[in-house]
Amino acid sequence: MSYFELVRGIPGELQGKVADSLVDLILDSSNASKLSGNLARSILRHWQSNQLATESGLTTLVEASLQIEPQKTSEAFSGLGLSAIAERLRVKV
Amino acid sequence: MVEFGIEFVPQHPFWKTTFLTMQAEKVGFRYVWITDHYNNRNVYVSLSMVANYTDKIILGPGVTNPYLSHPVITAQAVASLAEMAPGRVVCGLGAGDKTTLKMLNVSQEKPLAAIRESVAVIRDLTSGKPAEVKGEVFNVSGAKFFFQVPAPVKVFIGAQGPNMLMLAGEIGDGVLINASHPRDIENAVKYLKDGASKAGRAIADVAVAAYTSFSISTDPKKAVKAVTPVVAYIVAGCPQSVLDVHAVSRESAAKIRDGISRGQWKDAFGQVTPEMIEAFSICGTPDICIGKIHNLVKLGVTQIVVGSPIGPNIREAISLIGENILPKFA
Repeated sequence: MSYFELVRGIPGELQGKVADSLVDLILDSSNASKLSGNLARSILRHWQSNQLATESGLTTLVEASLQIEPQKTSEAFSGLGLSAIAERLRVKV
Repeated sequence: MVEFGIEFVPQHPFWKTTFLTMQAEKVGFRYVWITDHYNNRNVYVSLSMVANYTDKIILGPGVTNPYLSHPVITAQAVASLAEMAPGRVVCGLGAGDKTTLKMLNVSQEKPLAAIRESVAVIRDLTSGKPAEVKGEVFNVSGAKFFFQVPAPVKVFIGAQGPNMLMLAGEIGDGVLINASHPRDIENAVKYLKDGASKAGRAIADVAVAAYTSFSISTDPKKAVKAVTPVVAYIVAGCPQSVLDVHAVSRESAAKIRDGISRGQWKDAFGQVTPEMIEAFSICGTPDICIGKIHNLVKLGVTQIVVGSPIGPNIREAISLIGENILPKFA
């Protein structure tokens, strides 16, 4: 399953919360410097146009957070009550 | 009306500093100042990335110094940046940190002359004129750029001591005062006025920025915890004359300095008292910070620079400032 398909499983009303939670996770990560340049630029482009909470923005955030904090990404989804997605992420990791 | 600026130390990856600057711009900050230390990421690389992802925020080094970067190179850097972000570039310039310069075997000779001459060089070059400065520290004859600069870049002088403050009043477009307490700002403004009047200017001609150590949180204990290491470094590096103003003894400062130099952080930070935090930072809940900012504005401050650590969580702190503080001063 692609990241995009996975993100499409996030209910619309939770997209903002998921984006917020993943942004915190990425910014606070001690592995922040390991984030690839492409993903970093993609996050900035989405942030510039206030698109982080869209399907495209969330896809970038999921990919980025999995790159630097795979375990915590899955936990973030669990914490927001999105257990099915969390489980899929765990398998992916 | 007071404006708000934010300081970032480029100790984080470029994209993170850029992300947080974009957040600051979105909530209404007018300026971003990025520090210039050789041991962090390069200030102009950081600023150019910020320039590319922002539209309104005014940006500049806060502050660079003429000992590690010759003023023609600083002028070139800010002029190039101005091409990327026309009308949005300023240059913060100070005499540099003695400890860092010493580490690099660079002596901080004639700081007042060095700053005066550097300002002249930067002003000439960013105004599209050849630089002609025959000074005590710099001797620049006919240097000019082979490219156009959209507009002259304003220079803010980083100052703390009386003579540098007077110089800032005399020649600066603005001043960045390293202080958070009304007593220090009040003293600084007196010197600025003296310098301005010496040059036949009014204090209103000089943008007066309080470059504060700032820590905001809804939990005051967390705000204090975040600011304590920064205050420890401020006390350790502060001239005794400034410590005297706040009744900080030589012995207390020496204990902190000693702890830092031995790498015994717990010892050093443990010596920081609530009075030191009060004297050298703006720290607390949004309401507390609003009160402290009001006190500085009453003294003539036209820009509050929210400096390190900003808060225990920077992203949250920027949101708190945007939601609770900026609207009170709009």
